[in-house]
Amino acid sequence: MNLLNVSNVVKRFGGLVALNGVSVQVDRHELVGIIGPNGAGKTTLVNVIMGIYYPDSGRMMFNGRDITRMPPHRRVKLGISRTYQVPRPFSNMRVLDNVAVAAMHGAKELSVGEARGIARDILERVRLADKANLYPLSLSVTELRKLELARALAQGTKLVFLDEASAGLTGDELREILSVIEKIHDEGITIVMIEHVMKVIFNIAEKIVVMVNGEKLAEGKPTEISSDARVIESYLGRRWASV
Amino acid sequence: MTIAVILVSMMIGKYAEMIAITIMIFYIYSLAWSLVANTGMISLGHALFFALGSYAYGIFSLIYGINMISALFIGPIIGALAGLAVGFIAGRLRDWYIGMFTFALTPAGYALAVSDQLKPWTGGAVGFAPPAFSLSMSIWLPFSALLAFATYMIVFTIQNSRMGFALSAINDDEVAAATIGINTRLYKIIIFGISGYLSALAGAMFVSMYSRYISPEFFGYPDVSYNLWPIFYSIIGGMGTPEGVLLGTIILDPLTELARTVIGGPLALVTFGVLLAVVIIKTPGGIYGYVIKYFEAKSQMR
Amino acid sequence: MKIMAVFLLQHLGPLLIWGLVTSSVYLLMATGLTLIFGTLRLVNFAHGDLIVLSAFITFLLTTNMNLNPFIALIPAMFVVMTVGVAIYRFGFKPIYGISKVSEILMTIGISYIIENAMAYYFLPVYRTSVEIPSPVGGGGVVLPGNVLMTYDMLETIVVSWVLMIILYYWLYRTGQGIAIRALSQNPVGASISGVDVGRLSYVIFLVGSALAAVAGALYGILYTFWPYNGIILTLMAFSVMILGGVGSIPGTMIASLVMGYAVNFASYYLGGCWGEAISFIILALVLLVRPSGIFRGG
Repeated sequence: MNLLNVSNVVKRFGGLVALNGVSVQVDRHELVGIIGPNGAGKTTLVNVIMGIYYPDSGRMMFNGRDITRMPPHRRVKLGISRTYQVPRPFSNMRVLDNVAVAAMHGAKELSVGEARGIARDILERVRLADKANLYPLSLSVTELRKLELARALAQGTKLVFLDEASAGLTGDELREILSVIEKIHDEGITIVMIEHVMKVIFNIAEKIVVMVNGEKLAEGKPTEISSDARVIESYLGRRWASV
Repeated sequence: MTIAVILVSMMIGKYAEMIAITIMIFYIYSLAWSLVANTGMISLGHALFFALGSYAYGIFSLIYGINMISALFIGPIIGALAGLAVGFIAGRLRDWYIGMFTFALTPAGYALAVSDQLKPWTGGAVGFAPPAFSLSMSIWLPFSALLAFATYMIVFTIQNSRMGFALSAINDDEVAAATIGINTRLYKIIIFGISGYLSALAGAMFVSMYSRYISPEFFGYPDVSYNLWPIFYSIIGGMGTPEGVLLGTIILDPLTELARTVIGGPLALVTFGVLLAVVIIKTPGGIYGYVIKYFEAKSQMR
Repeated sequence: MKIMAVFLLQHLGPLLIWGLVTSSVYLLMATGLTLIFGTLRLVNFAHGDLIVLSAFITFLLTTNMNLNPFIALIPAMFVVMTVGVAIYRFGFKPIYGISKVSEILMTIGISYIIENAMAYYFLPVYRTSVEIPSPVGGGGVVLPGNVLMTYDMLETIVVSWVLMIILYYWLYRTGQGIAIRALSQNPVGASISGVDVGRLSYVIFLVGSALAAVAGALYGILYTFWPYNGIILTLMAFSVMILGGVGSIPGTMIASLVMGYAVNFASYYLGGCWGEAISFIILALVLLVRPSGIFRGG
């Protein structure tokens, strides 16, 4: 059975159709990449799955439950979480408490003490323990991305959406984030990465979904996608041409 | 601590004691306002809860003959219910809309209080006097100090609980708070309910131990003062921290009394407005923020 | 049937006329507010106080110097526009865009300052509420059905709706107006495409305050007022603005008609204090159901 099953989701903003009948399936322990140019509807898809917006039509099932019109906080309790492309830490809380507050309100309801304990473990796992008592303002971009990851993990999540987790990172920073992602994946968490830089995703994803103009253009293994004529023409080709 | 309060109340005069009591009352009221403000909602209509508390106390004790100490704690439940209802609407709104909606509550409450339909209970535009407070006058100050301390403990406990973390997250970034599993709407409604109870408690205390008269102007209409005192005390004192609010109340409340009784007239009130504007522009952390900064700078120089 | 006809003539006729008059005043009060909120995302809580300020200055000049209220309105307008611009320059501009919380607290502080300053200056002299005398010396026409329409009511309706036509022309046909509409739809885009946002902000506050000034004089001719009237006027303007959809002039027109008639009918059939209560009920309902406004086109 699929962990997440999104079928025929439509989302309009005024006259603009942001998602036009998108269907995506994610299996347990899979590492899926969703790629597409800017404005393809990738982030909108994440927002709809998280419940920030409700879809105009279509259905979404998670772990056998219908989540189509479920408020965001209840989806989190079921085990879905996300990170933001532009990190959104709680700036008035220390790094440790940023993670702890997520643990408190995640899949399990934890007390402040328990949550802080878990937060310490998780900061260790994402290699951010030495920054636990700082405020997010003093973190680097990579560290903020790790904080976002730590928050998602603290929730006892089953499925995590990483919205452009690698954007703007190069060299060592990129390798650091990717190694943390792979480590989490090995621990049994299903991951969906949203990217528009494809080099990253083709190396680690097990399945790739290509989106263009609010529609799913293609879906398959990385090797299939990179040889798909439609993808090359409408996305790779244009992108390559513009570089 | 109680002994110290009794000693102080014996040493200082009656007038000073009355002012000390109003400091306790307005500390509770300002803390209640700050609870909501620190969840990112600026309420401009807290006088509704304050007035509801005073009316409920008066009506319960005068008309229904409920024991006055009980009425002091049962009456504010009306304020809590009003708070939940206001929170239900305000929790869906954003910044300015919350301000406009809550601001509209005070004339609406006033209109109800003076309406013909409710006159038998409220005394209309004239208001009414509840029976004298049954507690011996000599322990009013320690009693109100105890309630102020209890309120501080409530706020402290909330801030250090799961709920406090949730409220703080909502204040920082509401969307991010929802995506880490916080039921933002529910928490906002609950905090409005708690704040409504505490504001109403302050209103009931104000009537029982200070004004001894209930008048529709408690709704902060047409003169908005009752609506604005908690805002002045919290913001000028230093929003967010119970210590800052305490500082603001201790410094400003006696000045308010002075403005109301000695100097008289609205010109003194203009200066409060100007002070608020200056603090917002120059030191958003308020007096307490300024003090903290001063000591930090001093300790760094050493 | 006959009873119905008598009822219509005796009660409905005056209500219809008064509804239109009240709507015209609300329209003037709300347009200035919605113009400022729609473009700069600022709600000027002192808007009602500016209206009262204009009414007081017009009143003083009329009674002390024997000026016609319409002449007295000119200096009143000048003062109110100066105060309006000062509010923007010294109150909002230093904190604009930093935090919504500061802006909201600032606006309530400014309202408090103006209100108590007026209470200080005017109350010792005029302890009760006052009313501006008629600019045309009273009188009126009797409409069919024995309905009295005073000239003051007529001039209120005419001034208000003519100003709306001028405002509409300014916003939709002149370069400056189009720039303002661009600003309301997309502030970043407007500044990129060469709109001088800083200068335009002053223009918007000037126009908003001028509308408040006119509303103040007309309000003072029709109704009695005192320094603490500002809150209720601000709230009436809020209700109309929210009902009509922020920033929408046509929406504000429809909303002011709805509110004007609702208030008149409610206070006639339910009793005086319900007139104002009905506008808060409408405000709360709109915020509960559709915070973006009912008549906002889209």
